[in-house]
Amino acid sequence: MTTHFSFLCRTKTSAGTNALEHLPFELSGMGAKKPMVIQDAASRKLKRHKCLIRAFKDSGMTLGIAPAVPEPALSGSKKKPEATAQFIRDMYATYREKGYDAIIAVGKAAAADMAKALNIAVTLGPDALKGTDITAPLNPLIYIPTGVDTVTATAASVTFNRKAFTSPYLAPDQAVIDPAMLIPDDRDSLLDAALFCLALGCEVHALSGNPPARAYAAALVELAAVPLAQMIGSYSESNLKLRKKAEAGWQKQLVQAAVISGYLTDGSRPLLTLALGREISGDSGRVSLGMIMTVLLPAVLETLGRDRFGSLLLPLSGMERFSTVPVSQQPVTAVQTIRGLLNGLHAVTGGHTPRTLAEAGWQRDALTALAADENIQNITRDTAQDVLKCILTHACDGSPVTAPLG
Amino acid sequence: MEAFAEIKPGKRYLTRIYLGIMLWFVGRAVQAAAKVDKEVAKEFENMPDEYTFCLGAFPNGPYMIVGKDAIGRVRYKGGNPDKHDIHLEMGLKSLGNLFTMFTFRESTPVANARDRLFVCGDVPNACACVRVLDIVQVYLLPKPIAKLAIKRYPRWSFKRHTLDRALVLIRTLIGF
Amino acid sequence: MYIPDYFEFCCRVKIVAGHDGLEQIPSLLTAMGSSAPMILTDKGVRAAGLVDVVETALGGNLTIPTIEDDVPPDSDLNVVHRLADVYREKGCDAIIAVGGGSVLDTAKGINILVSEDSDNLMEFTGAGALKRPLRPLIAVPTTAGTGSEVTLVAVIADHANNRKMLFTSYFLLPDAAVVDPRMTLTLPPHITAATAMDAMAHSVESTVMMSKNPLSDAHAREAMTLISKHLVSVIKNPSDKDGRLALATAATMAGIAFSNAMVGMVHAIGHSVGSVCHVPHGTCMAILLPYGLEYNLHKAEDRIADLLLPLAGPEAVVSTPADKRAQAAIDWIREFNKELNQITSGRHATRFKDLKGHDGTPMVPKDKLPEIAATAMGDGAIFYNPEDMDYEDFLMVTEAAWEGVPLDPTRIKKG
Repeated sequence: MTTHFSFLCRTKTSAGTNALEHLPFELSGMGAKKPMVIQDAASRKLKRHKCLIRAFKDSGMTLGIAPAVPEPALSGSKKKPEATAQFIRDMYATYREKGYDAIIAVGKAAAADMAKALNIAVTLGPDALKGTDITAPLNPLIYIPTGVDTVTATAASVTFNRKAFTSPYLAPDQAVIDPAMLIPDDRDSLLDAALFCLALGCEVHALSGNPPARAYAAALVELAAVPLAQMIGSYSESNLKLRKKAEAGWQKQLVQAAVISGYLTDGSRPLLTLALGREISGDSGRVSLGMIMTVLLPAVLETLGRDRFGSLLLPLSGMERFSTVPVSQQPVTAVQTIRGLLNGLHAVTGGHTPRTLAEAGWQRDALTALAADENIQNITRDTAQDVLKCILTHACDGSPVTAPLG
Repeated sequence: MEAFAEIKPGKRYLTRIYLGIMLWFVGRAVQAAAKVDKEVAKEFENMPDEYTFCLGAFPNGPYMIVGKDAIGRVRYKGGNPDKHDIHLEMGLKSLGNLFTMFTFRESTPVANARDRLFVCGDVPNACACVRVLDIVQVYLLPKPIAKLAIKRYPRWSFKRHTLDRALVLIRTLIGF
Repeated sequence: MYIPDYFEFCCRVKIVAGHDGLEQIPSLLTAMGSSAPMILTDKGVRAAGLVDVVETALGGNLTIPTIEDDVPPDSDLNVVHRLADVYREKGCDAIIAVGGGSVLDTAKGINILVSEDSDNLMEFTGAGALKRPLRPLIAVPTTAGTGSEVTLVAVIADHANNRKMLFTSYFLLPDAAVVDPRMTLTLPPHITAATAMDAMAHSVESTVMMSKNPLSDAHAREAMTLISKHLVSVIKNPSDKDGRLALATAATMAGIAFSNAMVGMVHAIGHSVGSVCHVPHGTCMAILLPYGLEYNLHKAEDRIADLLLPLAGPEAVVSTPADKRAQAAIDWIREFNKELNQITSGRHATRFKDLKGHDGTPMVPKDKLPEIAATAMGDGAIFYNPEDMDYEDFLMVTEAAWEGVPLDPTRIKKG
């Protein structure tokens, strides 16, 4: 561990059967009686709010069911600021006029981000969305995921009208994961989410030296690695019924992982797989974010972790395997395990998923140029250019970093 | 775009009726067991006179209220907590949680471990009340179901399993 | 990985740890809009010079309207009311609680009164009476053990009416816990051992309990690993600042684990031995921990077996067959206690029989064991224990821990 660190996760996690049933009690504990429900389009279309209404029977509370939030998401690159701004204005007026006192966001990140922005407006006034420091708790905000996502809905940040807000008070007070609320995700989305969570968890666990963050990261890696290995192992499963059943199980676990991933992206530590992954996957448009992050992961670990991240092997592989590997070989075995997952996925998809950035369509020269790009320097928090170059060029051809920098 | 809707979720009448009956039964069984079973009687002896506890669902019940009267007798006091001075409240966080427990899909210890239970009041008496409820469940339920409801099925004497159980059941039904 | 059918996990406390942890307090307060904190502590902590260390670290940029050290070891309703008046009179806008459980409980009580602008703490007893955030509260733990800096409960005694009042709310969690090794640097070896074993008991018990979950387990494993790695070396070299930081961090991590997954019979009996015989809590934990695992072995063998890695390391796992690992973990704790006993010159006790008071009389006379067992019957921790316990069970375990002999497995009832 490092000689100084700090960690904060303000979100309460509740996950499992009948989780929704606890919501009236939880809201009451926060002094709320009349929550407004904000949903994304998929959730609204499938009427997921009906599950919520059932759970609120006998509670004496009143629910406000809002129209679907405008898509695409606030955090997406192609925003519709006029539609989202109008939605916020309408919901702000309704919230105030009808005496709502909490928000329940149902769906994926689009709903969560809209709810965060709305919460700023209803707590601090609409002008606060033009920019303000958020230094005190906002009104109660609950987030209920309906599926996996690689945009972290539970992060303590939101972007509204190109204005970025970061504050621990922006994170939902509670993330409620109830299997009854889940909408089945397809296999590619599940794979992407598993890879995303794996990469994020591995990077934090290996490089942060921050014990509470490492604890969340260990849980994240374990929650992601097991379904990921199972997905690869049964990729060719042709029995549709069996596949759907397995996917439902993986989704339950990966939604928990996705929720936890948001706790680790509060901006207090640079996450290179995420920052570089967003840049690279955004540009290629062909390969998903989780995949790119996992392709980058071995090079990130080897370049920055040197030989000190052996304990990562434990959440990655479990106690039995971890215990049989000598300490000196743990880092290399951890990296091999990650590469093994990528290679395995490449094999079962008939070569359709990349193992290297080159296979994802990137040229070495372009990556070298990317390492020197000013924008990249900003988003990676001034990580030295030669470090970025080392990571990107090794991720390009998938070669191990044999001589770490520094 | 869909319109904004304000909804007041209703009530689960059938669930409330089922739970009302179950709680009525358990409440009267506690009163009966306090007369028949020495262990239950001893647990109540250690509580102050007029000590009253309730078990129910947040926020609007149903409830079961049991307590000692002014001369120390254990009484089932009905289902309305507003009529009594409650010293200990044991509640499930929702009606659904109480229903899951009273349909034996989740035992009391498991419901507690899953944060579905809350207790307001003094802890030693709460422990005693849980022990009383465990004993009462062993009296009322067949062994396979009772095993789902409690942590460890007790090794009782033959008399306690048969004669005492019969007495508890009869007293529960006639309310004596 | 064990994922229960339903679980909850929450720790809203910002953990700020490091050799410069105390120096972060002014910026933490500024971020919460506060500039005039009351420092609350007890006389023991103040006499040890720890408040001076805090004051020096805070520097001249912060106005401290008052330092209050009149907090009894058992937090008291009248003290809370009196100090709330002081808070208001001096124009404070935050509390820095420097100390252990009673200081923090008192701070939580004061914070309720001043935040709710009330003069009657009784209005807020029980669970869920608080409905909104309180004023800023920063906890600075001075023992690496209790984990009270991350718990959402306050226990305040009403001595006039001879009762203890329980307050439970997420709003009672401190805003930040500042973990700084300077606060524990002067702890003598046997107290270092006992407090670390308190944290060890929190983490170990939390992984065996019925409410364990992936997040509490991850916090507990991290804590166990830190304690087993650093405790002996810190006792041998008390000025090892990095080791002290690791132990203090582990205590907070263990506090997070147990406040979510709860604790069981080790704590139920430990609280009871503490209240009946006034044995320090950490000592009770160290002695009772192997018994808590032994008793629950038939219900939680897999969970106990998983402890072997964080406690004893990978070699122990490899060299122990899977079906012997749970027992090996229990044996490791017993051996660890013996090692602590040796390196503290016998001051770290391994059984109740050996505990002596200042005058040399036994702290736990054998005739007190029935009273201890009876008191343990009223401890809420037992709700979370995997196996049930009646009076006979409590007495059996307490007797074995008094003698220092393992439990007789044939006497453990398996319903």
